[in-house]
Amino acid sequence: MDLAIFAQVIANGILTGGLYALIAVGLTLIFGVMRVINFVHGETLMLGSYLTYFLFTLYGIDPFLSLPLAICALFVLGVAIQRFFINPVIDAPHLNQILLTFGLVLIIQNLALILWSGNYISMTTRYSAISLKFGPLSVGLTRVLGLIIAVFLTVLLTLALKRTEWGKAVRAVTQDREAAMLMGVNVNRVNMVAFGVGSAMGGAGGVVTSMIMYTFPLVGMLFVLKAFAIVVLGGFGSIAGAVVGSLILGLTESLVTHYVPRGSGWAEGVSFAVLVLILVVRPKGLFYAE
Amino acid sequence: MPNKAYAKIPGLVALLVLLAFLPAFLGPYSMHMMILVLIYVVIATSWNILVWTHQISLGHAAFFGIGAYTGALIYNAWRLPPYLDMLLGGIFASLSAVVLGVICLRMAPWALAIATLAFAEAMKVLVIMLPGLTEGAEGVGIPPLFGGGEAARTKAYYLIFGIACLSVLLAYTLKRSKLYYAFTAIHDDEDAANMLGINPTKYKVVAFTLSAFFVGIVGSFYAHYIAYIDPHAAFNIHISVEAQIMPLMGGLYTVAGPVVGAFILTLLGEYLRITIKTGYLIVYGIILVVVIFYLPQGLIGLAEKWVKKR
Repeated sequence: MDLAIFAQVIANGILTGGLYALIAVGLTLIFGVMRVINFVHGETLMLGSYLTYFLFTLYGIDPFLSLPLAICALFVLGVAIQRFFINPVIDAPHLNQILLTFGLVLIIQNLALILWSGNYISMTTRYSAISLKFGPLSVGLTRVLGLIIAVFLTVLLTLALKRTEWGKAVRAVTQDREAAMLMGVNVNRVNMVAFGVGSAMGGAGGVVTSMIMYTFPLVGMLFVLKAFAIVVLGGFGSIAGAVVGSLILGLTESLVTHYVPRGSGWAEGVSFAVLVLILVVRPKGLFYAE
Repeated sequence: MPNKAYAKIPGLVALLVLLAFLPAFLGPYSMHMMILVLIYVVIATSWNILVWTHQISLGHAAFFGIGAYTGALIYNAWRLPPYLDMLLGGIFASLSAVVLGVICLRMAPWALAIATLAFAEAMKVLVIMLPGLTEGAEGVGIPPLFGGGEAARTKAYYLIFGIACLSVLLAYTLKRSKLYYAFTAIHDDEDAANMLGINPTKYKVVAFTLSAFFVGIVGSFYAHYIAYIDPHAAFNIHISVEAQIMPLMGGLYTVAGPVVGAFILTLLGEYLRITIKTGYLIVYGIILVVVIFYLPQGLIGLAEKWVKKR
């Protein structure tokens, strides 16, 4: 086995895993707090991706400047979706919640399809073509920057959960919603902010995907299925689990792509195979907190 | 309420007679639409059976696809009679449901929801990646059902009409059986059901398997009727979405609801697809949201309320 190629494969896996983490962390946060299966999460990514694309092509705004804008915009959208759509069904059966978020997905996705057509679009910044060399390794600059964004935001969220009052409230609600309510936590507010923050993370994921790949109306669906696999893998609601799950999935996909014949086709199925395997072996996920 | 049940009989008979004589009045395109409607009647009715146990599947396309592929591949290999071939499609779909159900149905409802979605996608990847067995992304052609042509279409209509009647009859019989009480006991309170000696997982697996059976049959029927099947049509997420929206719109937990939903949405969907073209699924999304907020009992619930008021 060629070590240089192996190192390259691992590097690719980590870069992909970082992107997955950015998306999955937001999803698992929302699930932990609200116990809602939120399919809209993929659409926050899609919207973040289009926002970045249009700001760049229409106004020449660099994706890195779009990042805070996308985060704010998707935060507001997330809060609005929680307030007007999710909150009214928060105590309804899971069935209604899942179908409701599915309905919202259909609306947002098809609105995008009507407004912006189904074409695949991508943008070219000054640094799109630059690749960095570390010894035998060669990686695209945008992918490294994407990883840095992912790490930065995930660390920021983790610190916020550990250090702030809101973070404490989030963790309390995640552990036991009713007890938190009795202790005087404003659960409604926690829910709304958590949904906003989760959606903002999804939007940030969209900023990254717009730089490193294509933008199209179904891009969110592509990632949300994998993000769900990761959330199950890592244990519902666990941030650390989501990060580890993302790396496992990114690495496995990269290894399969390079070392299995016709691997890029098989890699598409890795997340689902891993998901089923985890459900069999460890139904509550790798990092389930009792 | 026996009186109320008997009151429905004349309407039901009229509907069945109308459907039985429909081929005499309809042209080829309308016949094709009616066949699609009946396919969706089966899918929606079957999906709804699982809901009685308060579980939902987001991947019924998997069973449709498994039925379609086992049907097409077995027919091409052995040329079994199409009826037997469709039955095999149902059996294979049920077997896969047993396996998936035993794995996932011990867990919370969302585990099944996500696992079924993943299962359908995984099956699609598997079919694309094993061209030696399945002919991969290119799809499988099979000789048309009953030799093709207009006479064959009429025969196909009666066949799917029969299958649809059987699936609705299954749902109706189940709803009046002891099994239904076990299903709803799980739905209402799983722990209590457990204590009363009802093993929730066992009943959930039974419901899941029954729910997959007829979907596998119509999958195989579809492959025979269209005379061709490919991975993207067979495991289309659209099928899974329709399977949820139709019962929801008609009325969950009822027998008539999925049937009503399938009729309205298949025809509405076709109309929208022709008139709007791009993004017509937005209407489905709006229907989902509106129904969940304002019509949780579906159209059947609305009709019952209306009748009571008068």
